[in-house]
Amino acid sequence: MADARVIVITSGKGGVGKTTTTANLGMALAELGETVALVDADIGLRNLDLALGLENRIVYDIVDVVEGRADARKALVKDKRKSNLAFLPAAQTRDKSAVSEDQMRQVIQDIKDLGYTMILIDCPAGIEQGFKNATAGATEAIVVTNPEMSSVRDADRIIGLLEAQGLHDSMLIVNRIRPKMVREQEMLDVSDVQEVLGTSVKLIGVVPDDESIITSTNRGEPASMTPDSQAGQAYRNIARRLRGEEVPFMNIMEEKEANSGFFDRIRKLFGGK
Amino acid sequence: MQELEIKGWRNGLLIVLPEADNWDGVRSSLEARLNEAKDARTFWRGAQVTLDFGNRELSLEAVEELCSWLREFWGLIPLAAVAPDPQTQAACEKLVLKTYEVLPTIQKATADREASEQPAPQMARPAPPSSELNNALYLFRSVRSGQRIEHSGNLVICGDVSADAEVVATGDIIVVGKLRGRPHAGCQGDESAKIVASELRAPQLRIAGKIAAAPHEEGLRTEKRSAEVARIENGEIHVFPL
Repeated sequence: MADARVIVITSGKGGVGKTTTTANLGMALAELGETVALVDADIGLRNLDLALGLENRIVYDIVDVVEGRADARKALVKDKRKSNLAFLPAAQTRDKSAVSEDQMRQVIQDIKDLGYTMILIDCPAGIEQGFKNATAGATEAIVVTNPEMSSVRDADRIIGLLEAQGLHDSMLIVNRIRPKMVREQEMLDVSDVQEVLGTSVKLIGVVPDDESIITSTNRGEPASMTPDSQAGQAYRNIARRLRGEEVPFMNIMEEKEANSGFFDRIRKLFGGK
Repeated sequence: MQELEIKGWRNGLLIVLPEADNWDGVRSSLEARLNEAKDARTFWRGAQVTLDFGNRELSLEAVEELCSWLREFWGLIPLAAVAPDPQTQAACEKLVLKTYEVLPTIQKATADREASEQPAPQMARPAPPSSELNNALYLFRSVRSGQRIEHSGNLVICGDVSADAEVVATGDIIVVGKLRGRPHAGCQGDESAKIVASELRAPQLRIAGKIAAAPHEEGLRTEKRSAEVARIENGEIHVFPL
């Protein structure tokens, strides 16, 4: 059996969309037929359960696995919609020190042994122990950033730290692009972000800022399940790129331009194009 | 006959590997020694390492395996090697380690230390001009935000230097890429030191004891610039097209 891919999803800065990305990619990869396990490494501030809508099904968590109260098979929560998607919750009542790097490696190995083909780890914000734990078992890394300077700066720092941990060739997702602001030069463009981070980082996705993300997180249904969500489409494309497919980047800028203006909508109302 | 030793020298840590034992024995005694540190797994992280292989003959695989183990397991950053043996030396060079035939002499190290003890860099007796140091460190990678590279001699970086990364050298600093971080050339008082970059966008330049702030405001987007050199003229840092 081919070895499972273990990908940590990280950013340095908080609130850029790591958890949303993990949930959406997990769902999209499961849709593509992968056997996916998502691991919430944000011990003490768990959120991935909400993004997946699985908060009521949690019985055991990662600390229970580490401390031997349950094995990985028992603790993994199966998704109610997709049987080939499971998730290992973080403990909410403990903190980052409850798990060591070696223990994390062991947990990942246990999950690998269960036959999962893709393991995504949702990394906590920051560069301390939680980051080190989350990256310990990973062999690949996705760095999520927003198109604004502080987030890009933190991504840069994180890429350096990932390299120090032996995780080279990080992949990059630029999340929450607002086409209108980019056009008005009020927001960094994807190319600006790439210019700062350099070409050694491979861009694997651009996700537009989309209201459907907020509603989908609240409902616990990742946007990648919604066919007409633009962000959802972006995540589905990323999932395919992760599996090695060549998927052209969707042109967020133009699509929005064509449909979003007030007059465009009026025109549409009257049957125009 | 050299024994296993881990000590500091002017470019970070020096790991002297014993010549006597077989390679596996060397590996396990090094592992034991590294483990002696308190919080060993995190203690060594980020330190730059020079490996002294003695006269040992090693294959590329062996050196590569050792370096990746040091890097990935301990977080150490192998930078250079003392490898008089031609095969070991070739292996090190392939892995972009800087190689020495013998460890640069103590004399020079003390000279550097004396220079650093001079209170003000503008003192009467400056450190030797950078060309005499003739000890360049070549880095074929980018220096990311939060990383700091220090070198005694000239520093050549083929890659970008990100904002809030620090690059410090007693001699010149040459960046074949974008320099957005904080460079300090001639950090021990050499006023003839230069900072050269393909795209010089540092918010602040330091040469010897002088500091200069970038004149232009950095906007959201920046046009590509051509290579520039910063050096001290008439007691002030000036930037010229290269």
